Amino acid sequence: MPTYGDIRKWQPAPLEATVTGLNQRCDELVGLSDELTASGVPEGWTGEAADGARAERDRLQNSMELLVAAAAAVRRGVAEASDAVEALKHSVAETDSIAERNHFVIREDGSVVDNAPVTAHDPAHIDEYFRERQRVQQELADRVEQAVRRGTDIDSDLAGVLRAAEKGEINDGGATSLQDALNAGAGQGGLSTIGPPEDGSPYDNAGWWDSLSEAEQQAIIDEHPEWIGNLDGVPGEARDEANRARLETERAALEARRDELQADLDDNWFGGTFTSADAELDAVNAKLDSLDAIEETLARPGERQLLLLDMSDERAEAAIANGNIDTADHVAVFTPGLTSTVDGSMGGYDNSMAQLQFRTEEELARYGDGGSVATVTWIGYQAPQLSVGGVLFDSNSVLSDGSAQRGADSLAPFLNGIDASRDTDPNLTALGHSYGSTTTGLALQQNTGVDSAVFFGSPGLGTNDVDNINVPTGNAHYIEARNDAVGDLGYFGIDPSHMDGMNHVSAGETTLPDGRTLTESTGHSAYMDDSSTSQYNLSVVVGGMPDRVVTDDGKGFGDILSWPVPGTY
Amino acid sequence: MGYEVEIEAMRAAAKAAGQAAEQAAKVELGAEVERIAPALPGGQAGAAATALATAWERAVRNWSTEAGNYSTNVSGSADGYVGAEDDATADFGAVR
Amino acid sequence: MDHNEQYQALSERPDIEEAQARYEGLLSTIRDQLVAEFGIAEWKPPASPVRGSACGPDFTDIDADGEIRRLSSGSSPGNLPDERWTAAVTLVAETARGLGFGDPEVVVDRQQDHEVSLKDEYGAELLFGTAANTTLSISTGCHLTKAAKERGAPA
Repeated sequence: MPTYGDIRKWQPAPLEATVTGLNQRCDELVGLSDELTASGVPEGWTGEAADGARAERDRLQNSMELLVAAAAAVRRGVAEASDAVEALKHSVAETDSIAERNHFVIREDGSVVDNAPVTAHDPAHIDEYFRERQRVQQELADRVEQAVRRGTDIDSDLAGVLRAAEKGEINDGGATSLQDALNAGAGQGGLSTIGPPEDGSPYDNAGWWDSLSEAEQQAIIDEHPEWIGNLDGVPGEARDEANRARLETERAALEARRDELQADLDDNWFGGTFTSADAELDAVNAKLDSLDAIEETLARPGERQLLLLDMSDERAEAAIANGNIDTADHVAVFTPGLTSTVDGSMGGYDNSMAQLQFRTEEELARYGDGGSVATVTWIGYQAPQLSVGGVLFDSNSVLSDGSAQRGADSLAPFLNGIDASRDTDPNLTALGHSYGSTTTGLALQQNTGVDSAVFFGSPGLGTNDVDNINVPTGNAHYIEARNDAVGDLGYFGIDPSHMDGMNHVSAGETTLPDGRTLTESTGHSAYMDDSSTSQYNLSVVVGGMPDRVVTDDGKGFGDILSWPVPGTY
Repeated sequence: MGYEVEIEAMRAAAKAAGQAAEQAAKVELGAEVERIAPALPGGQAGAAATALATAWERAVRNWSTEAGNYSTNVSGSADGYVGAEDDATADFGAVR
Repeated sequence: MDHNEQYQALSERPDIEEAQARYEGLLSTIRDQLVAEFGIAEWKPPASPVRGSACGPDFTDIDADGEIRRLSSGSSPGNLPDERWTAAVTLVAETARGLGFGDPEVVVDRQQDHEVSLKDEYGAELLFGTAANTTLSISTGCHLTKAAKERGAPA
C-alpha cells in the first residue's frame, strides 16, 4: 500500500506520456491490418500444407487482436489513472497547504504533527484555540486517510488492468478485425469508481470528494446521487444537483407505496381500524406533500440548494439554502422547533430565511463590505409534534430531549460539513428557535467550527453553562420575547435568559442611535418578523456585524455610542 | 495453368506477412509502460507495469518471429510447387 | 381570511410578473435619475437581482399560487453626501409616488448614514439608503402568479 509520502511523489505527467505513446503504438499495431489481410492463404491452395499455413495465419491474426485489445485496455486504464492522480495531487497539495497555513507537519507516513510556535494565549480564548487546533488536526488526519484510500484504490485498479494484460486475460470480444479488438479492449480497461468512506466524518467525506477528478464527480452525481445528496462535507452545489435528481425517484417510490397501502385498505372490510395501514398511508401522503413543498420552494426565483432530502424516518427531512453555501461569505443555518415539518413549514421558514438573507445583504452592501449571504432552513430532524389535544408539555406526555439529541447528531456534522467542503471557511452562524434551539445547543457542544450562535424562544440549550456552547467566547446570543411561554420553561437546562456569559439581545421595540425604529416581537413565533428588532439582531450577527446588536436594555452590545460611523472604518 | 496464378498469390501473401513481421518488430510496445513504475512509487501498479513491459516485449518479438516463419513457410511452399508440378496439380486442383 | 378570501384579495392586485416589471421599471428610473442628477457612481448590479419566496404571514394559505419577490439594485459605490441627501429622497419619493408609494419614513438618519423606507398599498417596501455605498431595493408584497390569476380561482 502506498504511503502518503509515496503519493506526494506520484506524477501524472509520465502517465499522460504513456497514454500518448500507447496511442501511437496502437495505431502502428492496427496499421498491420492491411498486411495481415494481404498475408491470407490463397483460396485455391489446398492440401495439408495449405491447411497448416491457414491455421498459422489465423493464429497470427488472433494473437495480434489480443495484443491490440490488451494495449487498448492498458491505454484506457493509464489514462483514467492519469486523471485520477492529477485530481489526487491537487487534493494532496491542498491538504499540505492547509497544514502549512496552520503550522502542522504531515510526515511521510501520514501522521500529523502540531508544529505551532509556542506563544502565549489569551486565557479567555484558550478553549477556542485548542478546539480550533483539534479541528484542523482532525481535518488533516481525515484528508490524509482519504488520500491514501484513494491512492491505494487507483494503484490497485491500475495494477489489476496491467496484470490482466500481462496474463492475456483481456479478450478481444470475438473481434474479427484489429479495430474491433481495439474497441473491445478499451472497454476492459476502466478503473472502478470509489464510493464514499463508510461512516466518514465531514472531513473524511470532503477529502474523498476532493480526491476525485471532475469527471468522476460528475459520474457519481449522475449514477449514484444517493451517495452524496446528504453527505456532509460534499460541496452544496454537488449535493443540490444530486438531491434534485433524487426527487423523482423518491416520489415514484412513495407513490408506489401509497397505492399498495390504498389497495390493502380497499381489500380490508374493517378499513384501517385494525391495521397500521391507515397511519402509514397518512405518513406517506405527508411525505408526498413534503416533496411538493420542496419543489415549490426550489421553483421560486433566485439561487437555492437542496442540501438534504431524507424520506426514511416517520416524517420527511430536508434542508434548503437561499444562496450558495459554497461561495457565500456568510452562511447561517436555521433550525426550527416544535411542530416543524417539511410539508407544513418549509415555505414559511424559507420565506423568513430569504428575507433575512435580503436584509443582511442589503445592509452589507450599504455599509461597504458587500459580502454575500446564504441562509439555510434545516429541517433535518424529527421535531416533536403536538400530541392529541394539542398539548406539548403536560404530565402525561413529557417531552423528551431524545429527538433534539438525535437532531444534534445530524446537525453538528451538517454545520461542520459546510466548513469542511470549502477552501476558506465562511462566517458561520447557527440559529435555533424553540426546540430547535435545544437541538442547536446540543449540536454546538460538539466541535463544529460555528462562529456565532443566536438562540431564540428556547426551552433550554441542553446545558446550564454557556461555556459548553462551543462558539468563540462572546459569540453566543439569546433573544426572548415578551409572553413567550416556551422561552420561560427552562426545560432542557436553565432558561438561557438567566445564563451568565450569554449575550442577551432584544426582541423589544427599539429606537437605535441612528434613528431607526424597530418593532417588538411578542409570543413564541414572531422572532423573524420583518423590521423587528429580533430580525435585525439576527441579520447583524449573520452578516458578521455583532457590534451592531441591540441588547436587552435597548443599548448595543459594547458601547453603543461609540459605534464607528460607517464608511469611516 | 491456373496454379501459376495461385503461386503468385502465395508469394504475395508471404511478402505481406514478411512486411508485417518487419513492421511489428519495430513497435516498442513494452517500452511505453516502463514510465509507469517511476511515476507511481510505493504501489503495486509499478511492479505490474514492469512485468507487463517484459511480457509485451516478448510478445511482440515472438509475434514478429512467427509472422516471419509463416512468411518463409508460404514462400517455401510456393518454391516447392514450381519444382514439382505433380504436387501442384494435386494441391491446386480446385482451381481448374 | 380563508384560502378563498386570500385568493380573492390577491386577485385585485397585478400578478407577480406585472408587479415585478413595474417595480423594476421604477428602480431603473430612480437609478438613472440619481446618476444623472446627483452624479453618483454607476450602479454595480448584484449577483442575483431577483429572488422570490412564498408569501408571508398574511397569506399563509396561498402556497404556490402566490409569491413575494425581492429586487436589489446592488450598489453605487461611495457615499451620497449629507447635504444632498434630502434632495435625493425628495426625488426618489416623487418618482415612487407615481407608482403608488407613500411618503418616506426615516429608517436611519445620521452623518453619512441614511436610509428611508417607502411602502405601497400592496405591502411592497422600497428601501433607499447611503453609507459607504448607496443602495436601492424593493421587496414586493404578495401577488398571485400569472397562471394562478389567469385561472380565476384558487388551485
